[in-house]
Amino acid sequence: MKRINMIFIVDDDPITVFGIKKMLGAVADCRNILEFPDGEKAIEQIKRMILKKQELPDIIFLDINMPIMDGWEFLEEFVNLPITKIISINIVTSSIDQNDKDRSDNFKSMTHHPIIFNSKPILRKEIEEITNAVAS
Amino acid sequence: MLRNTPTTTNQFLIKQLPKATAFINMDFNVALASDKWADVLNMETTEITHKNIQDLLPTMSDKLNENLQACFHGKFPGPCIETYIDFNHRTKWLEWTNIPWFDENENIIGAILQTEDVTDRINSEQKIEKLEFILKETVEVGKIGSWEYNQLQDSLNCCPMIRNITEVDDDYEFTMDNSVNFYKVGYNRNTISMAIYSAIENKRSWNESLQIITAKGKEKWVNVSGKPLYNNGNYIGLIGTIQDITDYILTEQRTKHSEHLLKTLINNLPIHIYIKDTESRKLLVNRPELEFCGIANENDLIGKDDFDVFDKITAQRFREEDMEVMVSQNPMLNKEITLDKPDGSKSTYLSSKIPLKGTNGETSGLVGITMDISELKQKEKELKKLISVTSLQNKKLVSFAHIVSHNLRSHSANFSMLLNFLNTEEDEGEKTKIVRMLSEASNELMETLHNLNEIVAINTESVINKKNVDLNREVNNVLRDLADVLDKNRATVITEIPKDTHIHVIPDYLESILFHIITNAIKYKKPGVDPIIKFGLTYVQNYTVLSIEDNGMGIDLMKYGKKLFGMYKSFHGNLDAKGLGLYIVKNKIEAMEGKINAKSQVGVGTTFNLYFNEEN
Repeated sequence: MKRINMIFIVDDDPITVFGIKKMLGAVADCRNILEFPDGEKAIEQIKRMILKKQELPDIIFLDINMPIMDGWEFLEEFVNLPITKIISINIVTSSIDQNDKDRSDNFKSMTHHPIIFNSKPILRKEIEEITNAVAS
Repeated sequence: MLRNTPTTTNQFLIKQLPKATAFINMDFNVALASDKWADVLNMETTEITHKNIQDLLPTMSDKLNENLQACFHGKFPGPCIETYIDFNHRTKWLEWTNIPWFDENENIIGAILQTEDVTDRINSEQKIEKLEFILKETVEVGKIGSWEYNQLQDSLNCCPMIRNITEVDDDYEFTMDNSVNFYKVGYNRNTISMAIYSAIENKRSWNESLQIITAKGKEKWVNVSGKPLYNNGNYIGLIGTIQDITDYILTEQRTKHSEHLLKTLINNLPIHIYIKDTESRKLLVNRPELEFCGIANENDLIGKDDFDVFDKITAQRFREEDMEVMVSQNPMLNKEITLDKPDGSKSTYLSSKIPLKGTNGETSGLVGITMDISELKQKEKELKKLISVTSLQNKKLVSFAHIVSHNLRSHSANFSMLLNFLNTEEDEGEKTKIVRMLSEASNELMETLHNLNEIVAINTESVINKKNVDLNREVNNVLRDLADVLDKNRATVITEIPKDTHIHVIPDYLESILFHIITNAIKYKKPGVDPIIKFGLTYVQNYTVLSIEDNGMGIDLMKYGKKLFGMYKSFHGNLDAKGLGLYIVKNKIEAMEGKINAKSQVGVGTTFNLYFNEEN
């Protein structure tokens, strides 16, 4: 089992959150899995952690369609934060719209964080690859 | 008898001869001459006896000289007519007659010369010749024939041109009766008969254009004139002319036909046409232009300028356009102009002005063409509106399709994931949890489908179902339905809608809209503060505006304004906020051709303004 220090799951759908957590439990060892129902709460947490100079998460699972602050708005703020650590951003969305894929590609060019576009339902194999990439 | 040596008596007698006569001896000297001779010839000197004729008449022609010599040889040459220039340089025509001069022994002793001034005769002969020539040419070119009727002999004399016109043979004999029969039966024959009768009885002359049928069956137009002749007051016959005017009449008919065609055409064209002179006075107008100027009779507009028809500012504008076109000689093409109609409405026209140039290249006026495009403009406006509505609907549809596919996909993704877990899960407790989640997901899917169905229904509902409702009654109905919720939240409702306010709405939609906004006001109340909901009414243009104000949490419109009425957007993180209510509200008010907007301040409250369209 790979050890991963901290993972954020930003999604308003409890079923998806449940699924990701369940699959994570099967492929990796992570004690700090934090859940956020929208982008705003997640970005606020990250800002707080930067201020307190705390260790930032290794992986963020990010939904796009969320109330208050959606995934795109989250990314816009996130890529501008002063973060040196490489954080694996995993978009998990039910959208199969090419526009959304293009938009995520656009963000890739703006940041050093890897951004992966995943369609729901996310598979255990994909989660395994994501955790493997971070652990190695 | 004259002698060789004329006696004084002879000399005296000859001097008095009434005709210009001279006796020339063989030496070409004048032996004797009548005074008249000297008078006719008007020579330099009156002393002519014994003078040489060649000296006296220096301009004498060779011909005359030859004739004299011929006489000396006993010959009788014919008279000769020659021009003669006298002492005063006047030109005359003289006729010279020479015969030999014999003595009593029949010996030739000279020539007798008679000279006659025939200037008048020659002149009138020439005049007649000229006249005859002109007459002949006129008859032929003008196809004019003359005729004369002699009553006594009952004979009708017709010139060859009449044979030509009537196409009869050379041996055809015209009579009064058969010539009348050339005229077409009916009006033509009656007219000529009446004219002849009237000429004989009432001494009236006539001039008529009538139709004949020639001997060869050809139809021709003729101009026939005639007048009665009298001798000592007694009627003796008729005289007149007949002219073939077929070509002229046909040309005239063709011209008239073309003119009629052109006139019909320009009068029935759906565009205004006029011609103006350099002073901008109208010379020609067609019917639509008359109607455009609001003038019934064409004659009331011809010669008038725009100042007589339009208001001063408009007329001045037109005059400036005219000047510009006429001075520059460049046409003004399809200029869009707007004019106020007497009923206050505006009309749009396309106006073109094309300069007219005379043969000398100078501007002689202009041709104007105006087209009323008000209807086109209106159509264009409607079309633009339609396009904007369509594109808006299209945008909505795309967004809706996107949302639907996204939503359904997210549900199906959940099902797929949970079922996958269920297949491999061995822990019973976990299995129960997954099944419970499946059932929740199923309920959510049902609700989503229900909501989508509602939205589809809004977009297909027709505006025809709008009814006139009393707004106060509708508001009170919704408040009554929500009485429990309002009471539980200790809400205060203030309505300031004037009595008998009526609006045109689809009643179900109004109810649903009010329901959503009121429940939103409760749902997003400020923690610890009793909600106050206030209804107000204003009128803006064609809209009746219902404003619903609360003292709730408020929304940061800078941040969320764009998404406020979007689908599945929730801003407060409340668990029961599905982010669908305002989307449905917006769709419903738009389906009633109204609109909605919101004003809000975080921590102070929110005001929703509902615009109900009262245009129709």
